Amino acid sequence: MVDERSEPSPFQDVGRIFPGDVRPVCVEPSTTVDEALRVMVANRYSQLPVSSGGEVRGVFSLWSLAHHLIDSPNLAPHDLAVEDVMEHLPSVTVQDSLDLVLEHLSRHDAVLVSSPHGLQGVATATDVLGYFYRVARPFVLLQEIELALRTLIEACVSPEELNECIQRALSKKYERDNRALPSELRSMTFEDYRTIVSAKDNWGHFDGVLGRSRELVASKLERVRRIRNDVFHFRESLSVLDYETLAATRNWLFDKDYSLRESRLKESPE
Amino acid sequence: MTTDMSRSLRQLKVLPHQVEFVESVLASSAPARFILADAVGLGKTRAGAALAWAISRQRERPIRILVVAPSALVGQWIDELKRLDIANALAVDAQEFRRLEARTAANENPWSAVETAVTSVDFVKERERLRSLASAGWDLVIFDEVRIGSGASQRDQLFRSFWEDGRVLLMVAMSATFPAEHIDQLGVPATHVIERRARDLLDWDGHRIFPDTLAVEVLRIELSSEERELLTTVLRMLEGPALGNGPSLSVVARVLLGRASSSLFAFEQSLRRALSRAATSSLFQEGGKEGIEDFELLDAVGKPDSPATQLIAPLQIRSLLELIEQVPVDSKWQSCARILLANQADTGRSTVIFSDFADTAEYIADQVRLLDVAIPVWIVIDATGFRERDAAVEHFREAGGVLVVTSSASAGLDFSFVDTCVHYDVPQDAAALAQRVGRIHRVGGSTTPVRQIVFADEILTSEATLRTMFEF
Repeated sequence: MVDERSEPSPFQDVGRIFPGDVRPVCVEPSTTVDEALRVMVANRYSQLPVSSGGEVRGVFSLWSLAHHLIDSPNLAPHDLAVEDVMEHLPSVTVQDSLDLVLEHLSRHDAVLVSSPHGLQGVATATDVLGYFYRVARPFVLLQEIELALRTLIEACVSPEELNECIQRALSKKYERDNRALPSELRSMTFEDYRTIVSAKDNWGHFDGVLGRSRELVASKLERVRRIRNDVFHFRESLSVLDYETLAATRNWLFDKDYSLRESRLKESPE
Repeated sequence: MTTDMSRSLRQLKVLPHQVEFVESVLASSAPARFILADAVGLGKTRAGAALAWAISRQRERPIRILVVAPSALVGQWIDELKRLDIANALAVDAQEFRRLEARTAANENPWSAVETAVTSVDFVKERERLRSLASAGWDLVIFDEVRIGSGASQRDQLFRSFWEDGRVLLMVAMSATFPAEHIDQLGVPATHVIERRARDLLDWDGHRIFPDTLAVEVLRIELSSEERELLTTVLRMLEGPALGNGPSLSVVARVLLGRASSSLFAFEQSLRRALSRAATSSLFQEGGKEGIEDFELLDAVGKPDSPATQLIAPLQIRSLLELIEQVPVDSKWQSCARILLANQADTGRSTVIFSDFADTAEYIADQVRLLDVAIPVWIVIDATGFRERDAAVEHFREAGGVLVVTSSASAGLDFSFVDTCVHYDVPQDAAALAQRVGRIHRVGGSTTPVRQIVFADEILTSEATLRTMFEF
C-alpha cells in the first residue's frame, strides 16, 4: 500500500509541473519523418517520443533532425523512418526533484517523465517556466498591488490629511495593541492601507478615485488582504480564482494609477 | 448492524434515516445494487460515508472503497470520509494518479495501491483508465450524482459498466432525480430503491423535518439612478443578443445576469477577472480550473471566435465597469443591512444568508464586519475546510449573529435553529432552492416557520420571478 498522505509534500518535485491530465503524443518507429513533422507542426511540438509496445525507444526532435542533416547531407530525410533519426533524452519520474529536470534541460530540449506503467509526459523548458511562473506570480502581483495602493493613497491626501486619516482609522487599533502609531505609509501593513481607505470618515478623500462605492472598494481590498495572508504564510496552494482576483485587482489599480498620472500631466504639462 | 455500531454512528452525527440506509445495505446479500434517491438536503453523502465506515468495521480484512463523483464534490466526499475516521481516503486526480503509477510496479494496477479512492467522473471515463479502475477490485462502489439516461453518454456508460459488472459485489448509486423508466431499463435490476421525503423523516428525538408552511417575504429594493442605469444596460446588452444567438450565448448571458442580480461585487469581480484573463499569458492558463463557477463560460471573453466575445466584448466590459464605478451605494446590501441591524437589536437572533456565489458571500461577510454595530459573522463557502465549517456553524449556533453561506457549500449543514433566512440572490434552479431550504428545515430542527426574505428590484429580479421560484 502506498503512503497515502492527505497533506501535499512540502518539497518541489517533477509531479507538480503538470497540473492536469497529460496525454503525450507518440509515434511508431516506422513513422516517416515527413509524417512526424506534420504532427509536430500541427501541435507546435519540438519533439515526439517514438514508442512501440508501450515502451519509449527514443525521441524524434528538431535537434535530432538537425544532427542528421549535418551528418548525412546527401540523404533526403523526408521518407526515412523516425527510428533512424531519433535521439535519446534523459528520463525522470514524478517523484524526482525539480533540480534534476533543470539540470537535464540545460543540456537537452526536453526530459521524458516515465513510470513503470509507461511514459507520463514530456517536460520542456516551457512547462518548467509555466510552473515557476505560477509559483512566483502571486508574490509579484501582491507587490504591485501594495505599492500601487500606497502611491494612490499618497496622491489622494496631503501629508497633513494623511496624518488625520491615520489617526481616525488606526489610532484605536495601535493603542489596543500597545504599539506606536506609524506616521508614514511605508511603515504600515496592507491591512492598515485597507483600513485607512475604507474608514467611513476618510472615504471623502478616496471617493471617485478608487470608485464611488466604499462597499465595493473595501471588499476588493479585503479579499486581497486574505489572499496575501495565505500567500505569505504558505497556508495552501492558491486557487485559480485567487490568482485571477489578484491579477484583476492589480489591473484595476494599474488603471487608477494611469488615470491619476494622466490627469497630473494635463494639470502641469511642462 | 450491532447496537454498538448504531450508537457510534449516532455519536458521529449520522441521522436515523442514514443509519436505516446503512442497515438495509448490510442486511442484503451480495451482489447487491442500491439506489439512494432521497430528496436534496437529506445527507446522501453522509449516508454513503456511514456505509463505508460500517462495512470497514464489519469486515475483518481492510476493505476497498471506490467513490466516483462529479469533480466539484470530490473534496466534500474526502471531508465526509475523514470525518468518519476513514483517514486513508485519497482524492485521485490526474496528478495523483501519475504519482500512483510512479510508485507501483509495471505489473501492478495503480488503483490497487489505494484502499479508499475518491475520483471524478471526468477523470475515469476514458476507456483505458476505466479498464484499470474496474479491474482493481472494489468491495464497495458508490456513484454520486448519477444521471441515469439512455446509455448514450460517456458518463452513463461509465456508470452502467460498473452497475453491470458482476465483480462489483456492492454498489450504491445516489441522486435525488432518478427517472423511474430509466431505472427499469438498467441491465441489472436494483436490489432496493430507497427514496425518502424530508417531510416523512424524524430525528433521534422524534422531531419532524419540515414545517407545514414556508413563509416568504419580498423586500423591494429602491435602486439609485446609477444602479438603474447599470442594470438596464446589463439587461439590454445581454438579454437581446443572447436570445437570438443560440444556446451557448444564452448560457453565458444567464451566468452574467445571475451574477449581476446577485451582487454588484460578484458582477464586478466576474467582469474584471474576465478582462484580466483575456490578457493573461497562456503559461498561467494551463493551471487547474476546478472550483471556478464561471471559468469555462467566461474563459473565452476577448478571444475573437468565442461565443462569450460575441455576447460581450472587452470594450463593453469596460463600459459596464465604468457604470459600476459610478454607483455610490449598494442599495441591496443597504436593505439587507437594515434587516440584520433590526435582528441584532433583538438579542440572540440568528440570520443565515444564502447566495449561489462565493464572491457575493465574501462581500456580505465583509460588509457585516464594516457595520458600525458589531455583529458576529461567519462564512462558509466551497473553499472552507470541513473542520472550519463545523466550527463556524457551532459558533453561529451558540452566539447568534450572521452566517453567510453558498448554496453548494451548505450541503450537509444544519441551520434548523435560525430565526431568519435571507436569500440574497435567487437560487439558480429548483434544486438549489431545495438545497437551501433543506438546510433550514432539517431533521431535529424547530418546526416554527423560519422567516424567509427575498429581494426584488424592478429590473433584473421581478416579483413575478420570485413568486414562481418560491411559490408563495
